[in-house]
Amino acid sequence: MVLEKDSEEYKALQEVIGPENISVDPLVLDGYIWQWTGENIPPEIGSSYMPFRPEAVVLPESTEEVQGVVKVCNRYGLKFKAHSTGWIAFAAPLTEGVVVMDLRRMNRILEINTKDMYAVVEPYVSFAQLQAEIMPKGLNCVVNGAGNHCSVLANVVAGYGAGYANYTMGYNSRNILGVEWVLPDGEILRLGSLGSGSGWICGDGPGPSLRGILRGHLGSLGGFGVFTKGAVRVYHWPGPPKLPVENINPVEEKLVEYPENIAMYWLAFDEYEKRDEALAILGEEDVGYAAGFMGRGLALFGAGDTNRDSVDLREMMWDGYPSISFLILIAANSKKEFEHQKKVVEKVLEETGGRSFEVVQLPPLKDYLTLHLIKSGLLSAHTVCGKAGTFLCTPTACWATRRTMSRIEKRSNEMKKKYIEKGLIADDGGEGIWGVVMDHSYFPYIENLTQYDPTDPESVKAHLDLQDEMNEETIERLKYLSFPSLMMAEVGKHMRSPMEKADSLLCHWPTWLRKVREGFDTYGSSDTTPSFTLPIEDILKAGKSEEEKGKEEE
Amino acid sequence: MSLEEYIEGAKYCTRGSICKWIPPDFIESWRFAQICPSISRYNFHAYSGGGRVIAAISLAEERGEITEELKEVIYRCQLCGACQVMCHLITELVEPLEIARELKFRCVDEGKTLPALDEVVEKIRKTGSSLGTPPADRGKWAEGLDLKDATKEKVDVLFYAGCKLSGDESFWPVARKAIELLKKAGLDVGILGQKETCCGGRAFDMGYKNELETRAKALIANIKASGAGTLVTPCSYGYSTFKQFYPMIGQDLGDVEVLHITELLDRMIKEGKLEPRNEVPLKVTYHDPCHLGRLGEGYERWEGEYVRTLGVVRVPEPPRQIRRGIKGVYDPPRDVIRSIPGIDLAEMERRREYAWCCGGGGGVPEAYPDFASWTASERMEEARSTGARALVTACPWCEENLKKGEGEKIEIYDVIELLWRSI
Repeated sequence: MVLEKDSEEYKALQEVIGPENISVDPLVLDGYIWQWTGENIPPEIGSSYMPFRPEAVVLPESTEEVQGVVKVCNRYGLKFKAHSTGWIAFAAPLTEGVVVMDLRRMNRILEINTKDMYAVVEPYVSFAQLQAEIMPKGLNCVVNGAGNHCSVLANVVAGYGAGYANYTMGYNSRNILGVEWVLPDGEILRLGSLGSGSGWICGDGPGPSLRGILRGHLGSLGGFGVFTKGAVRVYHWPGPPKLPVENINPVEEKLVEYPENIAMYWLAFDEYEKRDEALAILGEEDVGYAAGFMGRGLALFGAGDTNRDSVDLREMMWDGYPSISFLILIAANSKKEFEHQKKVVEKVLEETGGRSFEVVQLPPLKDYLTLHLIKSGLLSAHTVCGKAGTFLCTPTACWATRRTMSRIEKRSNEMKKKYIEKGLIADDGGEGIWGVVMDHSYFPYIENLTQYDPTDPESVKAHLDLQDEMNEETIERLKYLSFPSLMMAEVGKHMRSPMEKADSLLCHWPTWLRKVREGFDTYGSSDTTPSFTLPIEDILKAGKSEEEKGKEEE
Repeated sequence: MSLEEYIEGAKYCTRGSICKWIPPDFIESWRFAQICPSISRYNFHAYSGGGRVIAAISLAEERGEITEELKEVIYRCQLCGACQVMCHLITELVEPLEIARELKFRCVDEGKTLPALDEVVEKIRKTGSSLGTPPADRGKWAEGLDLKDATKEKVDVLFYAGCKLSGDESFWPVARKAIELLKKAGLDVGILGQKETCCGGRAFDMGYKNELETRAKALIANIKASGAGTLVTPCSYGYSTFKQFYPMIGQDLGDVEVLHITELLDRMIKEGKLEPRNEVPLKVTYHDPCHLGRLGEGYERWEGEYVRTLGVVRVPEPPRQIRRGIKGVYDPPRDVIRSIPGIDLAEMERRREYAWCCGGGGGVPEAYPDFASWTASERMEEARSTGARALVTACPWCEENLKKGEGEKIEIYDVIELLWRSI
């Protein structure tokens, strides 16, 4: 139900945020439930609308207004959900009675501390905005793989955190320092050194440290209070203060001047074991600034200017592109260091039997891939959003050791082929791997991006079946399952059993996390569903008419 | 195409919000990173290109109707095309600009119009001018210039002044200077005088779809009758209407070459027929009019279908133009400015395909003057940030709206005026 404009709840919200900043118009609200991957969610497979239209959407501008909205929600038994740049199904309400807080107006960079190397941001600051301000100061941050148009704060405190610079800067869950957090009961909690009045510099104190609870490995995906300000750790950037670019097309982007002491390699191998070995040596030798994986099928789809070009490239260039590979960017502080790092790369290739895939040194590939490794611009979205219509990852978000990761990559490539042969998903040859390596190669993260047609229920179902099959496989063979993978399959297929299996594999982490979070959310008002499990029965019910619901109750 | 026909593609919107930003790798500062005036001012997702796409799907699926609030969402959009440029960098399947315009058409079809816009259209219907200029006064601006009447004698170049330059006396000097420059270049120029009528472009962007067709037919007939090989206009809205809207609705100017005045002046300078000599010691910045830049690229009609290949990859048969604004008119006005001795051209952060709109399109100045001036204020702040003492543009509608921008004033010129000073 949408709030009535003459209701007490509406008036109370309006009083907090002002009449211009609340809407209950049905089609304005629909803007918050049409979400990427929503087509996987029942009741209607193949429609990107998520099932629960919010009660209202509000646009707070300050922590005080966020706090005010939370308190109104608690007073009237409403739930709430924070939303910054969005772009995932879980950004939508996952239950009835939710007020969406669109945090667009909280968009300031509050501080850039060059000495202590952090930046304090509000939720609607994008990575690209932050990079534009910090790179001239010789600093950089981990930009998430989805793209630099996404929210910094959402990524570091509330969801995922994988990007090419994880290689030298670590996973983003470790890059959050002091945080200002409006708890589900409306109280403000300041974490880390901020909590003891000692500034933003440390996430673990002096002051309360609850990083594991507020963030954990995956993040709460907007469902655990509202993070209103946060300090993100920034790192040394050895490149130029600015990287002027020409040509807006992501596959034609041209650096006005290719920077000194920067080089990009696409290293190819005949065996996975050799690739893993090369990654390990380079990491141990401290060579490289950013690194990641881009499967052959994915790269070729992305290389086309148009869909037609992508199809042509996929057919013509398949044999010319490497299947087992990784990308690495060198960004050195001096000519001497640059030469040293290049020599190490050459030596590693010699020792592992690898080779440099020289095609990518040609324009425009060299420029746009270099930019991609530094900034994660629109290339990712260009690659996966417009060919079949959408994509998801099978498996979804997989962290593993190098060897396990390679096994998962191989199996996922093979498993996609059955669906490709049936013509139900895009034919990337199975090789849709995207990934990054964290902490100098010790801990890779991969996704096999499966492109499917979101408007075709058969194609969506094929994607879900693949997801489910992949989950079973990883549980049975690898004794591993990433939580997001599980959620997507569970929701799509209305299954509970993989959750039980996974809960056990994950040391009952979802169960414990739920208990901890329930302790924080005394009113039960934060839409925490994405963090634990999804209310399948409620979701199915949402697609039924009042008459059907009545019959069921009888 | 109708709104319903755009819905099939609309469903491929992944709600990535890319339509809200300039190309991220081109962002130079926190301050000037946004691209869409509408979402920047009003903030609810529905005010973005993607939000309008979702609203259109919801309307098509009868999940709601056009309420008073949604009507405001629909009309508070300049149709500047920035969302489309951005969207098409990641997909060719969604058409946010066309959908935003179709939503306005639907408002008109349902009688859910805005009085201020009805008034403009009424003026066009009565007088053939969006400013209500009587036909007898349409050519008054050119009195004393000894210009050929193209309705009576053949000319090589037909000068189309447009409603603003012909109907607003404060712009007459710009039009007159344009003619002086063309004559100085030795061109055989004429005008249609009383027979010059509104191109219909602004009415089209206000949602009055049929008005464009009516205006196009009348104007094209007069243009063709003049026998001119070249049609030149200093009005970017008019230019975009000829290059984009007329082909979109199947109206054809035949072999007539359509040029913006900056393209022709640039050509004349490069051919040595105009020589800027006088020094104009001024630091300026250039504002790309949306209708000359990203909306100035020609429109290629397409009739076909998307077929599936490589499983479910969607490919158009036959091939289809992807409108990213890349082929718009960007360099000619800049080259004209740079040809002037003493000029120092400083670029704004948002430029070319990803320029910030002046705020003057889509009926916004008439219906929501506060939003129009807010949009202009944003642009003027960006112009000032370059250190320029003047902003130069190439469209009278932009010039007029930018003058409404708040903050410390800097001069605003048309490219024509600067070049005229130098020659």
